Order: sequence, then structure tokens, then C-alpha cells
Amino acid sequence: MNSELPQNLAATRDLLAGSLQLHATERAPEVPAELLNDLVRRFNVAPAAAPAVQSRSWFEAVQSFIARPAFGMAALAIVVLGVSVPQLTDFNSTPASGSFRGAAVPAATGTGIRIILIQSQAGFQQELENLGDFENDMISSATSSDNITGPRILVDFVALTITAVNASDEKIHIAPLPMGAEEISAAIATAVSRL
Amino acid sequence: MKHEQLQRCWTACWHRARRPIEGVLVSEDQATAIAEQVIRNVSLDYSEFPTEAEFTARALEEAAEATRQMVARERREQSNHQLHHDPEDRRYDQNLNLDRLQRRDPAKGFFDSEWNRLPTVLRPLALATLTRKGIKGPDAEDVFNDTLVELVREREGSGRSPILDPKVFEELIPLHARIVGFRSIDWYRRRGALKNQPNTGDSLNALTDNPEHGIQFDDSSADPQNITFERIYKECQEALTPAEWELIFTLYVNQSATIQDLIGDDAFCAKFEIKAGVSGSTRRRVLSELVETALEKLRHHLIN
Repeated sequence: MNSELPQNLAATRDLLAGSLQLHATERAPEVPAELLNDLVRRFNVAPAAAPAVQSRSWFEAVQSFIARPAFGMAALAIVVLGVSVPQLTDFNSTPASGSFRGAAVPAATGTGIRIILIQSQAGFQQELENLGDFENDMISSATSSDNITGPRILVDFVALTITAVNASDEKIHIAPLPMGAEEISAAIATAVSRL
Repeated sequence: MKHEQLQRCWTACWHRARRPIEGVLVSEDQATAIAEQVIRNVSLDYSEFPTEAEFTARALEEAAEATRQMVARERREQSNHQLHHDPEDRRYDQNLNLDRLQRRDPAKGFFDSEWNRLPTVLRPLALATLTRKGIKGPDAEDVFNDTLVELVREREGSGRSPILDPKVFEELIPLHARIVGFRSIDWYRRRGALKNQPNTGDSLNALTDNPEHGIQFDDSSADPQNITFERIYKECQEALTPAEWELIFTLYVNQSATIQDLIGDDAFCAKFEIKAGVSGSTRRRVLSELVETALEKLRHHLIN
């Protein structure tokens, strides 16, 4: 809130601040999915737009990378290190254990589960793959959920829902589609866990 | 319209459905059902989503009304006037039968014997308030008796008695507290009118300026600070433009963004004709001026 208000407006501000009268110790449930879907249809609610990924050729990408000021410095540093490090390093010593914190976390494998992005925004699949939460070959895009079989997670950007469907085509989990790739990825993981 | 707006509106609506007025509490499931129905109903009135402030205000108003109606109906059907009363509400022992209090005979007026129990409920709250205002003893009893008369006195315009307004008994408490407030002011005016006469005690100013006689109510629901957003919006809707409402609602009511967030939001700034290339400091100055103007309008409107 704006703390630089004139003193005579502070009371009005405080009046507004308490006017929703939410009960601090209680947490409202999530919006019912059916209501959410109906409101989405009525008001054409847009999910959080994934940042548009501009496609460009590999040549342009390399050109752009080389043009960066940091490229020259980095290249110089690599040359210097390449020459000096072999001379300073004792190749017979073994690396100290515990050099790395944590262990490499393998990406989730789907055991046959497919993640179908239905009418997602351009570049969203790539964004999801870049997060590395799922194997890339689990993720695919489609314009509708028709004719898709097997255990699957339907991430529907039209209905704004995430649905887990088992091999018997039973919907066993449905949740509203959150915003942001990371949140969507987490919601997909939850859906996968239900299968 | 965004997802977050729906979620915020839902949350506010659910809380209002669960506690439409101090002292009433319905189950979470009932609150969910009411909030869902109310939001559906309100959404039918719009082909496009209005401002979040307007949609929320409408939903809150209808949620409170729907819950009050449901509570009144169930109390009537089950003959249990304590049904849906918040167990944490310790202001008084038990609800009275509002239907009986509101029963009016054309010849006898409000004659039901339930009225004999009403002073027991209202007197402690009223006397505590009056004591804080510096009105004590027999003076306080006189003022309190006046307030009971005021409950049944027909208003000049509508010809309707205030006691007929509440749908649930809990609404009677803030209604009476407001009457106590007005009657105490009348008492001070009468007292002040006597100040020029010899041997009549303190002047009005001497009494009202005394910090120990601060104007406040024991019943928090009668506190002006306890005004709900839907009431503010209803009373001041015309005072602000939709864009000003959105600004005020976002910053102070929902508190879903800070002024710094809004400065960085090109789409939001565009609503106030702040162009995309304008510097952050200019945006801050313009938005701050708009906020102050809008708050000043609201303050003016609420005072008058």
C-alpha cells in the first residue's frame, strides 16, 4: 500500500483495506472446476500467456551469440585457462569427494503416460520441455483430445483444465489449469501421480 | 479478465457467504454452494466481465443477502433461532425470535411478549457504549429507552419501522448500535443547548473534546471501520470512474498489487493514458496523484 498518502486520506485507505472482511484463520476452497469452466466460457478468460518464443535460424543465433561483448572475454579466458591449467594441475591426484552438492535428479519417466497439450500457445511445449521435469518424448501437442488412448494427462488450454485419464478412459483427476509454465508443470506432476 | 481475478472474487464471496454479518456462521459446504450460485447469477447479468471491483461488490452483496435469507428460512422451519449463530460470538446469550419481534398488529402495534426480552439483550451493549460516550446513570437509561422507541417508530419517508429491516436477529445489534449513536448525539445537543443557562454543567465542546469520551462503539459491527466493500461501492459507485475503481480496488481493497507493480504494468498504465515510453518516476507521480484524487472523492462521498 502507498504509505506516502496525506494524513487525511489514511482513514479512507484503512477503511478500504478492511472492507473485504476476510477471515484470517480460514482458507476458502479452490473455485469449483465446473464454475471455473463456465465462467471461462462466458467471459473468455485467458490463461497466463506463455512468453512468446521467437523462432530464428541457427545462423542468426550463432551470429547473435558471437556479437555479444562477453563472447570475446569468454573466448580469451578459455584460451588462457586451456594453456595454463594443464601445467598447474597434478593429473595423478583424485578429485575430492563431495565436490558436488546433491545428486543429479533424473527427469520423471512416464511409464507409458503421455502428456498432451491441447491447443497450447506457440512455444509452450518447448518451455515445458526446458523445465526438464518430464521426458521430452512424453510431451506432445494436439488440437483436441479425440482419438487419444492410453494413460494420459490432458492439458487443455481451451477448457483450462488438467485431466488425468487412465488406460480405461476414466477421468480420475481434474484440476484447473494454473498460470505459468512451472506451476503447470507442477500440476501435471500431481496429475501423473494420480495415474 | 484473468484467472487470479476469478479466484480472488471467489475467495471474497466465499468468506462473505460464510459470515454475512457478525454473529452468523454457516457451514463451509453451505458457503461454497451459496458462493457458487451467487457468482453464476451475477455473471448472467454481464455479457463482458465488468471491473473486478464491480463484479466483486455485486457478488458480495448477493452472497450476504442469500445467506441471510437461508439462515432466516432454516431458523423458521426448525424453530431454532440459535441455528447458524457463531459460537464464538459472546456479545449476548441467545438470539430472540425475530419473527415475533416483527409481528405487528394494526391496532396494538408491536405487541408480542418477545419484546419483554429484548431490553435484556440490548441494554448491556447500549449502556457500555453510552458510558464510553460519557452518558451514565439515569441519563443513559433515558437514552436507551428512547432507542427502543426508535426501533418501532415509523420513518417519515417510507412509513416503515426500523425493526422490520433485519432478516436475521444478529442484524438488530448493529442497527440498534447506530440508533444509540444517533441518540447519544441528540443527548449532547440538548445538553449543549443548556450550556448558556446557569448551573447546567459542562458545555458540548468540553464534553466532546474530552479524550476520555472517545466516540466508539462496543459492538464492532457498528464501527464505521467495519463497513463492507459492497456497501462502500454501492454508496460511492458514481463517485469514481471504472478505471479509478480498478486502481483503488487493486491497491487497497484486494491489495493484489503495489504501486510499484502498477508502474511496471504497461497495460494498466495505458488505462490512464500513460504512454509506454514514460519514465518510472513520471508514472509513479501520475498514479499517486490519481490515487489521491480517487481517495479524496471517496472520503468526501463517505463523509457526506
